Amino acid sequence: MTTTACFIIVSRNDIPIYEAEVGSAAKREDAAQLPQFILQAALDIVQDLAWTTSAMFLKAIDKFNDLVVSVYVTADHIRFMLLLDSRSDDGIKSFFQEVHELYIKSLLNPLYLPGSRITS
Amino acid sequence: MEPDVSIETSCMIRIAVLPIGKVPPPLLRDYHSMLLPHHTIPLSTISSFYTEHQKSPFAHQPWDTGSLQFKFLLGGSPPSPWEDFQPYRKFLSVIGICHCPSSPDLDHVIDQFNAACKIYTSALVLRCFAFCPGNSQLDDGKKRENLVLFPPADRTMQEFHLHTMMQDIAASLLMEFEKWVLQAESSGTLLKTPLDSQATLSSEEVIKAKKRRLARAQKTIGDYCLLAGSPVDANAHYTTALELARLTADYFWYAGALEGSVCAILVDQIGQKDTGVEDEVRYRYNNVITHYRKSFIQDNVQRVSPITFELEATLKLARFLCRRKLIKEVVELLTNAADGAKSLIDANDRLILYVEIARLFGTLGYQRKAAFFSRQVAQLYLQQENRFAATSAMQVLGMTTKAYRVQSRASITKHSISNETEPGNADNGKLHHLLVVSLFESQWSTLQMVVLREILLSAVRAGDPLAAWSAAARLLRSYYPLITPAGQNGLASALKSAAERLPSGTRCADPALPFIRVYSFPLHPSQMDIVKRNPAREDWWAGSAPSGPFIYTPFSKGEPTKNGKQDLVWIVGEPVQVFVELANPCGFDLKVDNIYLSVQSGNFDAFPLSVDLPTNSSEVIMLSGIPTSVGRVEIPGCTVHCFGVITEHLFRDVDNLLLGAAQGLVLSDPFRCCGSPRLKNVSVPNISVIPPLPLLVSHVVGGDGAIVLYEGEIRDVWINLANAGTIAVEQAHISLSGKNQDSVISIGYEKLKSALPLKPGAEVTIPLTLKAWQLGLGESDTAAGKGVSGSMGRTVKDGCCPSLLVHYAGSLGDARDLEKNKTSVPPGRRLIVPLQICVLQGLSFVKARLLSMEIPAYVGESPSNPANVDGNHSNKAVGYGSKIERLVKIDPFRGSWGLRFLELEMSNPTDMVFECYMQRCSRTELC
Repeated sequence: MTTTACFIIVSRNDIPIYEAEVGSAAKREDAAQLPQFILQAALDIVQDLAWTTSAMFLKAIDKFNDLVVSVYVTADHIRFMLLLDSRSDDGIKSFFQEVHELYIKSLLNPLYLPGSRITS
Repeated sequence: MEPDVSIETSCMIRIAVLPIGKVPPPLLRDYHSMLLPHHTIPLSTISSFYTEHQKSPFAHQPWDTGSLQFKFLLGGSPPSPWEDFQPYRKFLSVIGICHCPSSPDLDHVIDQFNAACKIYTSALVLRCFAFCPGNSQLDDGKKRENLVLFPPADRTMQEFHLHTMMQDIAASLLMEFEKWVLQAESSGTLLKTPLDSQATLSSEEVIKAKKRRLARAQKTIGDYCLLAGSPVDANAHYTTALELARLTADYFWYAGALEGSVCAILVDQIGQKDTGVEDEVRYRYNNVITHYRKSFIQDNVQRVSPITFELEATLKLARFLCRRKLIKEVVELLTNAADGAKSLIDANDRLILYVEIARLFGTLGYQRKAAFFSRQVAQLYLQQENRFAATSAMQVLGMTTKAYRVQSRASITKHSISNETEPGNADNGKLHHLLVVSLFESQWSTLQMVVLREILLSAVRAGDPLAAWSAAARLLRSYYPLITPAGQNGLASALKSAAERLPSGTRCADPALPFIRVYSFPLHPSQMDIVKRNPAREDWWAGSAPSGPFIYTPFSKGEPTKNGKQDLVWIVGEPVQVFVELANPCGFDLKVDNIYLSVQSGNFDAFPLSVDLPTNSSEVIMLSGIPTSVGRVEIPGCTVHCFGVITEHLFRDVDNLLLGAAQGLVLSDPFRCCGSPRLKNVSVPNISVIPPLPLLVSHVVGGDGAIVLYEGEIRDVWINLANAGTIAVEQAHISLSGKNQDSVISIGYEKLKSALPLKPGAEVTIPLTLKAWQLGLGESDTAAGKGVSGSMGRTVKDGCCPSLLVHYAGSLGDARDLEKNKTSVPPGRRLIVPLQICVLQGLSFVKARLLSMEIPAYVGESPSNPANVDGNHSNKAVGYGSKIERLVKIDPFRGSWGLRFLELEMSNPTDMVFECYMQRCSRTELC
């Protein structure tokens, strides 16, 4: 079974500051950027949804074909977006929490300018 | 599936509008647009055309408030297999449009019209509108069925006629509906949909179908009631249909009836805001959707599927809720609808679905979602491998560019540009901030590149070279750091091949390469300085330039310095230069066919230049031009002919790019990656052009090189002043400045004065007497390397040379003019002629000593020849001694006393031969 996963951290200004693509799906030429397109489009939904709930983890908020977008919004409106073709909310939630911790660690780095690209 | 469906679609009467004979497309569009306003015909207006033949089945027809709705479809379309299920899909009327001048034979027109109507079997009313008939056609008098001639009249008159005709059509349709309903109630036809199995009916199914027949008939009658504008009647029929359909488990028709009932409610409640209705609609439509889903039958899934109806219903509900701004629900519905795309069989249906989803997201304000689905639409179009589909793909992608922030400059409206530029002067800082933010937002570079590539691909396929060029240019200019050199080369060849198919001289709003920034705006060289003239004073130049040692004096009027921008004055007719830096950060050699300053104010002639930029290089070039008339000159950028297309490169864009690069927001700085050093941001100064002034040019007669003088030498030089301007010099004055002013002994003032006024082209030669000054300590070292470069600096930097300042001016202008407006005095100019005097060390005095010569008395015959005392120093020092007779006191008896020899040691470091004469002065002094 092929899996696709794409993870993006989007800054407050709607620009991606970290991108990672994992998955074993054979990439077709035309669909190569599809995950990013889906995630970018999902930002529209996030921006409305983020203010309706106090929870950081917004669960699966959008889907296209079999790909599900899960979003986690931090307090400073940094959005972690994960695109998966299978869903297990608990796993995703713990993943996001882990990422949040890592993100805070990188934020604590005095040389890191908030809103700029994260390189690792 | 059909585009643009809404709940109210069910009550719209579909009318095909067909061109009959030859109708030029613009005229057809014009006639069609005349029809469009008549989409709603109130029932109250058609009563005069309506005659009640029998008792109307529409008992509750709202004659006062109701109306018939029309939907005009230009060109019509083939009949749908679902017509029986939803009568609004039928073309109930056909309107032919005929342009009489191009089809003179009316009989032929009627034949054509009838032939065209053949495929519209469901049409109840046929009309052919013939516009602009000639006199012969009008006089024809022959009555032809269904042909309506519109006598030539002005547009309002024609529209009035058309309105009347539409009312007639509406009344005829209404009567036809009545007939149909009466017939259906009595006899009843078997209504079928493609969903019903086409195979031979088993006996069981025949019975089932018979049972269902009644429900279906009721539902269809309800549909016709809706079309006839009588929602109350419709509702009554729908209620019966719903009951019957539920009993027979005819889910598909149940859902259809339910849909109709919702439409009836909405039409009935039109204009009323009631949340109860909203909830009712939502509840019923969710019901509709579930029932359509229920009617899904496994065995004919390959052929037909009710999924399109389910999706259409979803879209209808979404559109309804969208109007009520229930964003969350709409999003949910649309997401579900998008999911349904997988199960659509027809690619066309998927296209329509995505188009509708994109439109609805667009109305919600979800631009990125809309762009996403638009891109899906474009991809579907691109799969169709034909030129029209490619054109559509290109257009759809063009709409997404705003959301992905890869807009073509041409599509940004004039308004927003003016908005952007207007506050530019007033509020620079804020503007920059906004632009920086907008740069921030344009960071989905991978997506942007994909979109631009797709636009390029579709434009190439659609055969639109300009769009292809623009897409390739945007791609290359914005994303060159992310494209491999091979890819860059590919884009360059795409640009070239697109340009080959464009007519020469095509302009494109999107610049490609190179990147251009201002390098410097040279000030006037010191030879052509402009000096403000003070007409009240004889020495009119005084006070205009800061005099004294201080840069700032509190007495000088505080000049309003705007934004720290410098002001520059250019003069009509005098060529000016601007330095710009070009950069080509790409992996191919760039040939710029032509580059020149682009001036919007129109008072500037720019001279084009052709440049070749090798791979990864930058170059500073000088662009020149001549101001042609008085006023302001705005130089927003350069016009470049490159890759066969003319583009406008704005300095502002590159400045923003560099600003972004400095903050690490943009991919890379094109200039730095070409190895060009960082440069301070140079802004374009405020340039104003003033009327022509005289222009003096000078040269030293006998060569412009340095005047070589030996210490103490006095020489005459001549300076030639020529008026190279177009205005006569009326006033001129020479003064001196700089060090060593006393080395200029005399200036031929009179010669200059007598030559005034100096006509254009005339020249005058002024004699000057120079005397070399004495070299100070250490100065002799620098003296040799003296070469004054007067072109860059305003004053002669090399301190030891004096300069001639020639202040000159043209006529003062009209005296009356002067009184009216003080500022209109044309300024004067200052010519600085640096006297490049090179003083070389001449004969130098080394030492002198007095030797006492006590000569015995017996020697004394010829003591006056003490030469060659030190003669053994062959070339270093040649001493010449002189005897001073009077000092010598010789007594032939006592010998001599008081006799001194003066020994002078001089050195000559030059290769010149000096002759020396000694002279006695009153005080012992040596020259």
